[in-house]
Amino acid sequence: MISRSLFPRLSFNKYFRLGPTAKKWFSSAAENGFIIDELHPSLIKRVVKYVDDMHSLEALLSQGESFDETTQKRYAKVSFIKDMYERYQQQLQGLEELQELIEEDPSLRDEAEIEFTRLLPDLKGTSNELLNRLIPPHPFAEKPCILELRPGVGGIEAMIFAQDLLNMYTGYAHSKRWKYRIISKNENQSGSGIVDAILSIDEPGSYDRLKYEAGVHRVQRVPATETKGRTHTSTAAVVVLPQMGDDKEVDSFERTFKPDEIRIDVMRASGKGGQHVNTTDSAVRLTHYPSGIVISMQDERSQHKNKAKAFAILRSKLAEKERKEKEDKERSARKDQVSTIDRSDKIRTYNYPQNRITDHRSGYNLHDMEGIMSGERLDEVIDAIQKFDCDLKAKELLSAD
Amino acid sequence: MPRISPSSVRACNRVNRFLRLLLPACRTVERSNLEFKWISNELSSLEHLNTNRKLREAIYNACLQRFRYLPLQYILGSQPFGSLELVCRKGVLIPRWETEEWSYELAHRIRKNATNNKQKMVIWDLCSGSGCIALLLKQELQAFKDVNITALDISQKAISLIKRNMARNGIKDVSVISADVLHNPPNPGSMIDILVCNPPYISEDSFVKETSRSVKIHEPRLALVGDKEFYQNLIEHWLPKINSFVYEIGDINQADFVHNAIINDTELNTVWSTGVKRDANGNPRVLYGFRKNGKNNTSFKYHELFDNFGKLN
Ligand SMILES: C[S@@+](CC[C@H](N)C(=O)[O-])C[C@H]1O[C@@H](n2cnc3c(N)ncnc32)[C@H](O)[C@@H]1O
Repeated sequence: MISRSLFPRLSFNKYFRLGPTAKKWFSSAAENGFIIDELHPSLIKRVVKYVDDMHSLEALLSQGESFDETTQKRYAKVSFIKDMYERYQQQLQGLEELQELIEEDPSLRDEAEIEFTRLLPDLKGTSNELLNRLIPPHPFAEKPCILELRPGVGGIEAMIFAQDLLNMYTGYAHSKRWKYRIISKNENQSGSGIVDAILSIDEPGSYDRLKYEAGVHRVQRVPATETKGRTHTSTAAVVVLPQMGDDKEVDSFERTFKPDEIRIDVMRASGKGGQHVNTTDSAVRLTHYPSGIVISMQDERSQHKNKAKAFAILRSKLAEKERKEKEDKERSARKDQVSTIDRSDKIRTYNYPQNRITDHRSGYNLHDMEGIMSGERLDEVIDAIQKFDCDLKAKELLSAD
Repeated sequence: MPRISPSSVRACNRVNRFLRLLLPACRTVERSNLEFKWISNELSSLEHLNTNRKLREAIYNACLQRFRYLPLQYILGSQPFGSLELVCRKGVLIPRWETEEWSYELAHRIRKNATNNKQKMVIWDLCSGSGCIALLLKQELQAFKDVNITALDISQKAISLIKRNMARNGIKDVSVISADVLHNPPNPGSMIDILVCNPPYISEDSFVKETSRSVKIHEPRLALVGDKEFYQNLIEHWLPKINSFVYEIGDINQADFVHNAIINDTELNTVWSTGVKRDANGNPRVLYGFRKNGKNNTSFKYHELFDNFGKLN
């Protein structure tokens, strides 16, 4: 029932791509665009652990022991992983053979290329199945999200850059046909750019992609106002939050707070208010004492709507805060040695003179400023950082075992 | 690579010119900016303003009207109110955020305190104006099959605006009655559970001294100026016919007036509790009252419905 062949294959160093020859043909196939995304070695190690586990379980079974419910579940899980892994190996092997053909047999190259392109998604599908079993999914993976943008250092140039980033994200959502709304936006009164903006992307699962955008983004370019043609460096910060429910739920969420936890300030108008005045005093400031979170909202002409929006954002912030705290706790409990993505650090540089963006976490470079800033090629950057994150998680898991 | 184009520089100048027109009514630059944003956002979504030129002209005219203190809500023709989008027309009072605040809160309390969604409720809104309170209650209580809401006003302009606002928000089954509450108040067929009212409450004196210019010039005096008459009318005409009431007030004197009339009456003071609710800005805004023990197998436990709504006297 068990494929013994798993073991010898696992110990083969071809999975670690160490052999100089393997490296050579692999890279030249890659040059032609026929790249295989393999699972990270530490994930493979983890699979081996599961298969070991499965063996010991089966040994117990053969001794006539019966499983309780949790053990049954564990058994089901490890058998699934084993099956998936076998499938992964077959698909991988098939693709590698095709790669070889592409490299070495010109007469079959065209057909091999077509076949390669056809089969590649299967491998990706299997890898994803495995990844989902091996790495626990992000708790907010299925959620829509909210992006908060704010200029950092660099004065007006930073405000313009924050506006550029906002355009990038709306363009990104647009290119994916995701619904989005600008929840609030405060423009720079004395020129171009924005003081802050909140963008809501209503597609479920958008959090999982865009969570990697959180952090400090840096731009290097010559500002329009710069007479001497000097390149300036400015920054903007992006916060990514999960959306935690629809408007109706937000309404009941609002009522979960005790009066002394929350303070709602409205635009203080002196005088009698009510029928005496008719200006639109709809701005609201929400203070949540336990967390110290303060949210101001003034975009809507209705105070009620501003309040609802502020509460929705508070809810997202609290959820994200709680998640981070939990993650940090777990990490320090493991005394992790593996470096993690530090959100306070600058994550990406947009270098206009060189037409280049660099993601500092993954080391990924893209030479197409226009493609990025329009949002259309942002996916490529996110793919790279997602892969990087996945590998990181795999290492983390391994060190946790 | 310049990113500020000459045309956007010109746009900036244009903005400033417009902002200057908004400043007198808005008083601060910040608020002028907000209003400018609302004006340009809402006008640019109008289909007939389909060229830049037409749009710019429309925005300019809007700012010019605002310069003459015409309320933003009349210029844009609407005001959001809770979950509703209400049409605003000259001749009918613009709904205020204070009213939105307490009526939304009231709707929530009714939902929470109803025994089930078959519960029968009779609600009357006197002095309904745009219909804001009656329609918001209807909208927020749509899960309840047996809510009976009546909206009443003396002004024909108000009556037709209420109907228009019902159509605009897809609200059915609100009775709209044209009547004079003070001189010829209609008799409700049955006991009213909740009587709501935002009557004209600005005294002559306060109208001159404490009312903003835009209100004075452009909103209907009929909707604004009143002293104690509607509160007197509450005591004399309505109290026997109702289980509870929620009246907006402009001055704490109006609440005291009703409160004193009740505690000085040996019969009323055994039956009624009254209280005052402040708005988010800290001003006394609502006078409310309920029968301590209900009447005629009432549907609500009123002391729970109004628990912590404001401060009981
Ligand atoms: C302050 S407005 C309130 C409008 C609306 N309920 C609101 O909250 O925006 C008062 C309304 O009372 C109406 N009104 C004035 N005198 C009245 C009377 N004697 N009988 C009935 N309605 C009257 C006015 O036409 C006006 O619409």
